[in-house]
Amino acid sequence: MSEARIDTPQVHTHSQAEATHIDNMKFAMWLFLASEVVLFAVMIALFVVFRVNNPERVHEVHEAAGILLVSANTFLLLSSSWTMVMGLRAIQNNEQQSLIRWIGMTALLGLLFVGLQYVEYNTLSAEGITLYGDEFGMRFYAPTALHGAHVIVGVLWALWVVYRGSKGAYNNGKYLGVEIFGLYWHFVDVVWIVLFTMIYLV
Amino acid sequence: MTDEIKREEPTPIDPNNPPQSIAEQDSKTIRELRADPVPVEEMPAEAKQVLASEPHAEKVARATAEDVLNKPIEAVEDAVNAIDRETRPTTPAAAHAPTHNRNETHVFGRVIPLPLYTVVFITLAAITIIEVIIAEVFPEGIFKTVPLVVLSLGKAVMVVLFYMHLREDSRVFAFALILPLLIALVSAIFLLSVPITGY
Repeated sequence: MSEARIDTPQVHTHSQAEATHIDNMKFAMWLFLASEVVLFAVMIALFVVFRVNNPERVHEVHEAAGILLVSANTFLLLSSSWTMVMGLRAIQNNEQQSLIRWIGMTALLGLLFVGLQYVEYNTLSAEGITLYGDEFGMRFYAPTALHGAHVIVGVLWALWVVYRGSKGAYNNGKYLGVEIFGLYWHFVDVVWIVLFTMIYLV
Repeated sequence: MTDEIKREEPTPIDPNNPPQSIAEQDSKTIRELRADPVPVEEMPAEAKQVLASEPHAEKVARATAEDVLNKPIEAVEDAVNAIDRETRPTTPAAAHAPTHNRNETHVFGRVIPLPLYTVVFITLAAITIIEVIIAEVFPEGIFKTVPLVVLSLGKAVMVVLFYMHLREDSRVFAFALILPLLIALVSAIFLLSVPITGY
């Protein structure tokens, strides 16, 4: 009873084409995120192996650094994820000014995060924790700095979304650009959630 | 070929007696009508007569029968009203917005007057505070590591489900996260079997 039809003419309505486009864009973003997961997961795995094999060294670093600064930074990034979704929510309700405010806030919080990370790196290097100081250095700086780089890219992207929003590029029927950026930004947040626990707390 | 569509002339509306909207007609539930019956004085004369001539035993029997028959109707009405209350949008804008854009959130049967995204944020912040306390207070060991890892994975899953919308989007996307993580986990376990220094 089954029928295979390969000669059906491709008749797409506008909304079908639109839906396919949205699915493709989202899927592309998720595939990119998958490649990012590989990168970060390998770095986290290497840190975890080092952590298990050298508990005293990691304990020393924790004693030297403290977690006040990095906890504050974690709250900044969590808050930026919240402002991000609130921005998406705003544009889904067709509030364009509100979108610009929320995403602008996201960019500001991201910038603060990078700034505090710079302060943290300075503090750590003053404590003698440097890139080539010992085996800990590279295993710590590589994942956190790569994450910081992602935040910098995210801040630039957020400013781009703000700029596009100010030109009226988004409305409640057209917000894919905001949603795709949101996927990236929340992914950066997820990576930090895991990094924060694995590197600073455990 | 006369394919003309015949339009029915609308019934002229009497301005002194405007038709009730369906919503107005049906606004009272059976439960409400029974709780607030028509007073005997307002009943038509025939109804008054019937009521007066009815023996007491029959009256009681009729009331009991009504009770029994109305139970299922009331149950259906209650269920419909409950669903209606749960799903009714709070503002006109929210009527067209996805469910996660409502101004209130239902958590385990409680209604919190905040958007879902804000409730998730507060939960994430609270878990982070708990994590920091655990990290500061607990001594090194499995009782510190396991809760911390579980809590952070919980936070990550919350962000992915609610903020990245995996709860509503295609589950295929989940593989983008799970598969690389599994590979990293296996490689980490594999690496742990390697001696850390040469002999």
